[in-house]
Amino acid sequence: MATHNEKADAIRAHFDQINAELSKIIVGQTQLLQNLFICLLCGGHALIEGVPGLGKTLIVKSMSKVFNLKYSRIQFTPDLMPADILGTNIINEDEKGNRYFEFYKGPIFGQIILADEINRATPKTQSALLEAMQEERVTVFGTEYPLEPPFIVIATQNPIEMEGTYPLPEAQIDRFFFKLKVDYPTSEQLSEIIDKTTEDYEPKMHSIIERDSILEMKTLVKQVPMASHVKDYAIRLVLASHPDDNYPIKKAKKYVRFGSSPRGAQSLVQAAKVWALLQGRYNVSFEDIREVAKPALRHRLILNLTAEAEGIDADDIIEDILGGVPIKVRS
Amino acid sequence: MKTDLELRTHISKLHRLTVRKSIEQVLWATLLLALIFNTVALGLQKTGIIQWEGHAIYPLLLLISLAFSALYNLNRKKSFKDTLIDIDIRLDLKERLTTVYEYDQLGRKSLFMDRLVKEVISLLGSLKGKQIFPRHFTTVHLLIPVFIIMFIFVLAIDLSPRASEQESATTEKLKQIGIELEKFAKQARPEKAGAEKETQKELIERMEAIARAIQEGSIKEKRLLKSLDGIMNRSESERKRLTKRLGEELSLGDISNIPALQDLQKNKPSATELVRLKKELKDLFGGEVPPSISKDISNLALHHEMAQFLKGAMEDVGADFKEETTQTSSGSMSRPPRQTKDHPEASEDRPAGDEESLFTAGRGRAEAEKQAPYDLEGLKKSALKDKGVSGRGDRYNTSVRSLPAIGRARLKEEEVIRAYQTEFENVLQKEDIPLLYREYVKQYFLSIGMGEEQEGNGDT
Repeated sequence: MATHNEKADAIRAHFDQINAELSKIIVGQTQLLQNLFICLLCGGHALIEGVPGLGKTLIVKSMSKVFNLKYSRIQFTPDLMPADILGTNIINEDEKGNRYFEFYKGPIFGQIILADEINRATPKTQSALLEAMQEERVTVFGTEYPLEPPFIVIATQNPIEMEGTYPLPEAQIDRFFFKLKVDYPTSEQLSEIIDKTTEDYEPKMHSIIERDSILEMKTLVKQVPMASHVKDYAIRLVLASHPDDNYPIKKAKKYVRFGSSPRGAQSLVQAAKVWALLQGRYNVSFEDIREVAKPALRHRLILNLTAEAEGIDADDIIEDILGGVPIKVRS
Repeated sequence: MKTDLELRTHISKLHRLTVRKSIEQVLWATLLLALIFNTVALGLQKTGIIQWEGHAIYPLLLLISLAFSALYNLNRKKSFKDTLIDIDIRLDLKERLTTVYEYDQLGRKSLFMDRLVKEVISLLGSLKGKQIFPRHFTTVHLLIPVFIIMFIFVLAIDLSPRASEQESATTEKLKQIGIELEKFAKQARPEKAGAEKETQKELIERMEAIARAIQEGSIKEKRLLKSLDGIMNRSESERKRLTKRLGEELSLGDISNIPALQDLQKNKPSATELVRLKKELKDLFGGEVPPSISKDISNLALHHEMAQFLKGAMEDVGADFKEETTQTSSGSMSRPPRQTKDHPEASEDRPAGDEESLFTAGRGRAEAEKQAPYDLEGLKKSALKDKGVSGRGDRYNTSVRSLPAIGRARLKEEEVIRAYQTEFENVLQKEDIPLLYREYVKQYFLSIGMGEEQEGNGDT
C-alpha cells in the first residue's frame, strides 16, 4: 500500500502523464491544464475566458477522457432555460395506465460539466448553476438531488465586451475557484495546431487516472502544511485588494470598487497547496501563493469605471498588490 | 523520534548562532559608539572646552557605548521565528524551515511532516554557519575605520596651542612645588624616633609621597590642594596639641609669671612668640631650658614652619585656579604667604579661624572672605570694617595695640624694645615685606624709639 508521501509524489507524476496525454491533442496551454488540474483537486470550478477558437471546449472534453469522468456539455444560449440545465419532472405513464412524475436529469448530472459560452445565457439561467457549484446538489420541485463527486464546472466565456453576452452576476463569479485566460497561440503552436487538425491525425486518448484516485488526492491535498506567516501573507494580499485597506497599493485604491471576498483567500491557500505538491514540495511557500494569486483573485476584483476607461484589468492590479505587499512583516 | 531529536539539535544550533550573531552586532556597535564618544571627548579635552579628571572618562564612555548598543539591539531584536524566516528567504528554502519549526513548536500534525522534517534536517546538515548567517559589510563596518582614523588624528594633533602652553606652565609649576616639597621634607625629616616624631614622620612621608606623585604627573591641582590641606590640618591639630601640652607642663612647673606664657593661650603661637618664650624660659631657668620643654618648643616651631610652607604652596596652587589667565609667579616656597593688597591683614598673627579659612585648600580666598565676618565675631581683638578698600564684599582690619596701657606694664622697657628689635630684624630679614613698605616699617620702629640707645630703669 502506498504511503502518503508516495501518494503525494504520485500527484506530480499523474499531472505529468495527463499533460503528456493531453498534449497529443492540445498544443501549448500547459499552464491552463495545470490550473484546471488544481481546480479539480481543490474541488473548485473554473471560468475560462478567451476569444472563440482557442480550443477551450476541446481541452475540457479531452480532460474528461483522461480523467475517465462523466462529461456533460451545456451550450449556453440566450433562450436556454434553467430546466434545460438541471432537468425537469415529466409526466410518465406505467403499464397500468397510471400517470406519475418522473425526474428527468439534466446535463448538470455529470462530473465534468462544460458550460460553454456561459455568458451568452441570461442571468436567470446562469444562476441555475449556483446551488450545483456551491453545494454539489440540485433542488428540483423541492426534491434534492446530490451530484456525483468529483464535480467540476468548467465554464467558458467570451470577453464581455463582445456583443450578445450577459455579464455573470458577482455572486456566481465568486463561486468560481479560478478564472483562467487562454492565450493566443504562438506562430509555432499555430503551425502545430494546423498540422494536427488538417491532416489525418486522430490520436487515441487514454484514461490516466480514476475517480477514486482523484478523490483520494483531494483529501491528501488538504494535509499539505503551511506556516502561519505564509497564511498571513495570503490574507494580506486579499486585504490589500480592497481600496480602503492600509497598504498603499495605488492601483487598488484608484481602480477597485470592491476587493476580493474571503473565498479569494480560501482559493489562494488551497490552490497554493496543490501548486506546492506539483512543484515537488510538501509545504506551502510565499512563492506558491504568488503563483496562484492571479487566477484566484482576478475575477474577484470588481473594478470601477475609471479602470475600464483607462484599460486597466484585474491582472495589473494584482501585480501591483504583489509588488506592494511585503512578504515578511515583523512579528 | 530520531528525526525529532535531530531537528531539535539543529534548531538549538541555530539558536546558538543567533545569539552569537547578536553579541557580535552589539560588540561592533559598541566599538563604533565608543570610538565616536572617545573621539569627541578627546577633542573636547584637546580644545580645552572640557578638562576631564584623569583618564577614567574613556573606559566610562566605553561602558556607556556598551549599554547603548545592548539596549538598541535588545529593542530591535528579532524573534527566533523571524530569524528563521530570514534564513528561509535568504537561502531559498521555500519556508520549509519555518513550517517545520512552527509545526514542531505548536504540536500540529500533518501527513507530510516526517518527509518535511527529513528534508529540513538534510538541508541544515549541508549548510555551514557562514551560509546561515553570512557576514555582511554594513555601515557600522564602514564607519569604524573612519572613526579610528579620526581618533588617531585627534590624538596626534594639537588642537589648542594656548591650552597646551597653559597646561605645560601648570605642569612646570607643579613640578617646582614638588621639588620644594621634597626639599622641605628632606630638611624636616626627624633624625630620632619618638612619639611626636612619629607624627612628623608621617606628615613628612605624606609630603614626600605628594612630591613623588607630582614628579610622576599623576596628581592634578585640585587633588594636590586637597592633599596639602589634609597635611596642614593634621599639622595644625598636632600644633594645638603640643601647645596645650606645653602650657600644661609650664603650669605644672608653677611657671606663670612670664609674659610669653600668655601667648600660649592662643592655640598657635607664632615663631616670634616661641622665640620669646624660649628666651624667657632660658632666663628663668638660668640659661638652660628643660629638654622636654625645649623639645616641645622645637616641635611647635617645626609645625609652625610646616604650616607656613604649606600655606605658601597651597596659595600658589590655589591662585592658579582663580587667576588662570594672569599666571602670576608663585615665588619662593619657603616663605609664608605674602600680604596682598586685598588682604593686608593676612599676616602670621592672624587669629586661627581666619587664618584657616583664608588658606583652606581648594577653596581659595573668596570663601575665606565670605567666612571672615563669622570668624571675626568671636575675636577678643578689635575687628573694624575697612571702608577704604574697594572690591567685592566687606573687608576687615584688625587693630592690635602695640603697647599696653601705662601702669599695667610688667616688663622693663628695654626688654620690650629688645623684643621688638628682634622682631623688627626678623621681619626685615624676610623678603616678603614689599620693598616699598620696608621704609615705612623701619620708620615705625624708629618712631617708637628703637633706633636710639635707650636706657632707663622705670617701667614702661
